[in-house]
Amino acid sequence: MSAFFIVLASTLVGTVLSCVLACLPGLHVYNIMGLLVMFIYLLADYQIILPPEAYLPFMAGMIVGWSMLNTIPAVLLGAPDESAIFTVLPGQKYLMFGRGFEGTMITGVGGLAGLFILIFIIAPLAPILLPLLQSVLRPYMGAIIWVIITFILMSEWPKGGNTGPAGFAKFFDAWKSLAAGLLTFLLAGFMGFILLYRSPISTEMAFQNIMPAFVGLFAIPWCLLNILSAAEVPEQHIADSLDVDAATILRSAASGGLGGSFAAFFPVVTGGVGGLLAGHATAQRDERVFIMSQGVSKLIYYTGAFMFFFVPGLGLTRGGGAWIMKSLYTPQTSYDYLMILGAIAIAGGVSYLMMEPLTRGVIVLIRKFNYRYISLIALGIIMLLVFLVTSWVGLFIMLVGTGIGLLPVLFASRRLNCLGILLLPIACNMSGFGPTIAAWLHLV
Amino acid sequence: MKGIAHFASGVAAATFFPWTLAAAQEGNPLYFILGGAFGILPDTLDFKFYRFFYKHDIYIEPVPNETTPQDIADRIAAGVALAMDREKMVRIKLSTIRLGADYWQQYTVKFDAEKQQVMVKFGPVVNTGQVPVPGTEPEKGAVGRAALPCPLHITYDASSNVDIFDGPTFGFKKDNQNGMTFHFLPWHREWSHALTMGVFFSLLLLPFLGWRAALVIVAAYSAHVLEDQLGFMGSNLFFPFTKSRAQGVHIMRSGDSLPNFTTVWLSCLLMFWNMYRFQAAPLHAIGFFQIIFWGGILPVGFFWLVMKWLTRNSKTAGHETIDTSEWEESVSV
Amino acid sequence: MKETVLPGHEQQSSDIKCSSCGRFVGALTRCPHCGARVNKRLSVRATRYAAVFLSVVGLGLLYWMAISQKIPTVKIGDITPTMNFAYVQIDGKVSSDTRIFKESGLVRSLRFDINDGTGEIPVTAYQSQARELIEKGLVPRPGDHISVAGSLSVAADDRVQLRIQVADQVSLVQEELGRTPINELTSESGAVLIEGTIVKVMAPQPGKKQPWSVLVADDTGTANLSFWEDVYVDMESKDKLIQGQNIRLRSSIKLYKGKIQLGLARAADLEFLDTTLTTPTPMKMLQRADSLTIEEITADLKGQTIETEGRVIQFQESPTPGKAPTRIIIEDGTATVTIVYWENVTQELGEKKPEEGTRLQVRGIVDVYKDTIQLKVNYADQLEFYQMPPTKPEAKPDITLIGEIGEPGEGEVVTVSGRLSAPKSIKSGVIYPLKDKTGAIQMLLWDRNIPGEFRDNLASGKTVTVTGELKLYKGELEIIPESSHAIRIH
Repeated sequence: MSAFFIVLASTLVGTVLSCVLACLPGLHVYNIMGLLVMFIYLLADYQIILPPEAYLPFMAGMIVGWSMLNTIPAVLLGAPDESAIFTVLPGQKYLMFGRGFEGTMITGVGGLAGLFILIFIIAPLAPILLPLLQSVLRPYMGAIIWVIITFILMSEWPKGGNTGPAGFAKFFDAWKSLAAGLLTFLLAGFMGFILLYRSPISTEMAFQNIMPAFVGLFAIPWCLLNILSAAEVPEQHIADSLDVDAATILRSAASGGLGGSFAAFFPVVTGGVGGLLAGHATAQRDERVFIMSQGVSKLIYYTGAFMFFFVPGLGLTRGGGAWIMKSLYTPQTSYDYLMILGAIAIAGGVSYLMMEPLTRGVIVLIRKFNYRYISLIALGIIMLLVFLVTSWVGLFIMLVGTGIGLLPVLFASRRLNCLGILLLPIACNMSGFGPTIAAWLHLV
Repeated sequence: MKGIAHFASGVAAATFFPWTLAAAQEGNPLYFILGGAFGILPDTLDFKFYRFFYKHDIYIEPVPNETTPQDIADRIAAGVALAMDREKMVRIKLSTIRLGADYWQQYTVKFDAEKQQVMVKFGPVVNTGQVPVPGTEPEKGAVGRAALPCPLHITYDASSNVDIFDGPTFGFKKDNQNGMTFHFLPWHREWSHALTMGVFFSLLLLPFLGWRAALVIVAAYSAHVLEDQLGFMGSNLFFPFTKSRAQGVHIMRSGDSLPNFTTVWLSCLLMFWNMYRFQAAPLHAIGFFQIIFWGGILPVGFFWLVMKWLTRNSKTAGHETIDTSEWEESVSV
Repeated sequence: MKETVLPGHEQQSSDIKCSSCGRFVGALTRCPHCGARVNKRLSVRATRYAAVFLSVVGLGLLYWMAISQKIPTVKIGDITPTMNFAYVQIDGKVSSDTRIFKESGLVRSLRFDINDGTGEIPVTAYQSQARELIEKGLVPRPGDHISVAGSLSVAADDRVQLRIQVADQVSLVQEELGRTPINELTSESGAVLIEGTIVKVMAPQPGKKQPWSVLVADDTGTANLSFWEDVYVDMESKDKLIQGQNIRLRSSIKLYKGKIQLGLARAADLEFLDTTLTTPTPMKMLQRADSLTIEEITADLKGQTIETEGRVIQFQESPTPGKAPTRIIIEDGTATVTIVYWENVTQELGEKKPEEGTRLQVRGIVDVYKDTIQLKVNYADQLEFYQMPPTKPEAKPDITLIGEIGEPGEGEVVTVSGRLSAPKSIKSGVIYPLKDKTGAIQMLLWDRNIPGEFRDNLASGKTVTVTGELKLYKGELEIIPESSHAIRIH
């Protein structure tokens, strides 16, 4: 069968599969990719060697489809309980207004805009620009990560201290949330040191050392709070059109494009961090711009980071997807790059077309079934996944991560502080004193 | 300006010093961190520390469904009257009215210097992005009015929206013109945004971090102070040698997106240029103007042109904050 | 203000408001307006306590688990791709020189190979870890027994490396070696101890990135020792690096262009012995010339001094000494070249005459005479004869036309020749389509058989002759060479 049809078929299968899986709350595409890689190794043990034209476009399709459609559970599958949490996310606001469909689709438009930016601007410029950026910035990567950490910690604003007379009581009331944020960052960072230097997960599964922690930090709290939520999802209205115009799309594309590109290029910086930086830098107030730019940023970050792995001659490994691929495949020529670009373009179009029917489908689902049960099922699936890959130890790590991941949500600080699990140990490593700290902690 | 603009310009200022880059190459990010931290520090000092200890004379804490605009106007006028009897500034704290995790009852206070009165009016419920919640726009509601006992000199905006998070502080102080000067957020930039404070911090940390760190601190701190002078409020630049804020040059507002973005982007380009220049043997040959043109002028200019073209016919959308400059006569509640 | 039910609040529970004053409190447990306590649902309270407990106590338990476990010892042969990022210990033997990389005088990293009998991987240390290893005298030498812990990096094509995180986790037992005669050196020798005499020293050309080259001889043969400038800089007795000096040398064995070469990674591994066999004579330090294969010698190099070597295939003594030169034609498998020298060299050489089959190393000046490239030799010491038994002329393999290859038998080996097309990467290897006039075949190069450095010489469009085993894979014929020696590039 010609390579063209293999690439096309595997792209479509990967995209459709990930679009469906993306509707499950809490499930991350990197978890699925990790499983797939293990499956490929298993096949290799039985002398069944899959050609790269089969699995590379499949992975690309998975990443594109998931980054486009994972908005659906984020917006629709969880009512924010204002008696338990402090911050209502913009997508959730749309849900509580009965405009969840619109919120999801606006993010999808952002994803589509991100796809255009990626294919027509970033992809052609990457082979020219990235080597220049890499050569200039590489010696300073450690310092840049530290600068980002400094900004994350210093830019958090106190949530309390808005009433009452001046004094220490007011000060402590304000600083409770900041202290929670700092504590979250440090605890996550400590956990990161443990997992990077002396993970209790078996060495055979070391490539998934961080996975249970990430599931615990981000996915489980989400599911758990949905299950415990006392809020109900109002009736959702299916809009005929979206309240966006070209100017809104352009502003979102610019803001999200910057954030996503930044996150895709710099190591350790995730889409959330990129979105934070770009959001602050572009000072957008319009909520439509905010959620649309999140769609742009997410797609460019996940897909762009994966795509950069294939830029000829660069060897840039960014994002979990590229790290997973690195153990499986080494890109050789422009052939790989163009194949991946083609797969991304096809996957992007297909996943956007699947956005509306899947969104409608999930809205019908939440009408019929309580969203709490859906979150419970998702919770079970995620825990099973963790157990299958990393066994009981992984479940325990996931539990600890859940505790840390709940702190920012329940104590009024930013979830972004959980990224200390990667930011802190890696920044220390890049600066050369990571092993010193690990030795001081008796981890090595 | 927004925090990220100050932060980025602080880091950019740090990169002009060769030891910043040399140390970073050896794995020491200290000067980078100092640049960013001291670039954002003036606002950190005010908003995360000082304001919680700033004592007020009058606290206005409206109660939903009970407090009327007239109540608020009367209390403000009372505060101005109090200031007439004092030499020191009378400080009035206006609290916000939180209705939900993402809902705030907006009210507006406006000083009419000509008519010598203060007016208060409730607006719509807004979200944390200060965007009105549809369906909460007030009907032709009451306007609270209270006469002021003396002429008022306004140094900032005459109209203030009180909506999200922490409400503003109004300061009233007798001036030399037989009237009262109105100070908006008197605690902000009272001492924190002084060039002398940058020197103070650098001297404080000099014995511990060395003269190189001290220079970076001064540069980053000064960048913040000078950027804020581009706005309206101004800063007390030479505290403790000067006592009051020097007016800004009124070029921009702190929340304007274009100046903020331009500052951040320009700072990034300058950082890149400094890092490029510091290379011993650059693999690529690029010039400063090439970076500014290809990295700055071209993409930003293109974006601006396209935005202008796309918005050429659009009116202000309903997503903007409601313009409360029109104060219609109405019956007080 | 009139009371309005805000969007979404109809679906919220009643405990978002203070039961005392009725104002919004959200997730707070104490009303900021009236100070009253706000009772939260048990599930919310329990979740908060659980979060704090899990994050603090749970993390403490996790930490205790981590530090209680031993670092697992693994065999290199058991390393799988899923072990990427694993922190492991490997026990084995150092199988290469330690290369120390410096920048602006500061050590940036060091690297050596470890072999535990099941495989071989590189081990690296960066920055402060590398410097600490050097300061503690823990720089491994070939042959040392080593136990090292670090984090594994497993990339595609089975590229595995171990990164040292802490210098304290390296333990070395230095191997005492017995003397190895030069004629017993093989490419599998690993670390060796040589005792011999310096025959010749060639310094690198100024400004050129070339190694030092020292010819060492013992009573069984000669071998070339090479080391880089940083090793020379560290030598304490540089003045003893002269012809005739007896030395004791601990080195690794390398193959360079098919020849065994000695490698010196540290100056401390070269010992100048007190006794000298011959009176040291001041010797002009020969400048190292560019070492080229015969094929690489082109007319563009006219006037330049180059070095090459090959096997003598023809010797033409001068018919008219003093008027016509003596010519030697040598070949190295890539091409042939003529060496010319005059009467003064003949007299210096004396009885030495190259026989056909003798290997010869020559330094000469490139010249073009009647459109033919020649190497002019002006001194006898520019010619080195190796008194090796003449090798049998290589039997030219029978080349099989690709179109005539039928279904391969078990273990069938053929030789084909053709032009390469664009390569395709596979897991653990590369496939080059190879075409001749009659058909096409897939030349499968496994990483374990064909090293990367050799593969870099291959490219689409090049003509090769390859000998390998035939296999049929999914209906496609494949030829699999066992080593780089089975591939000849034309």
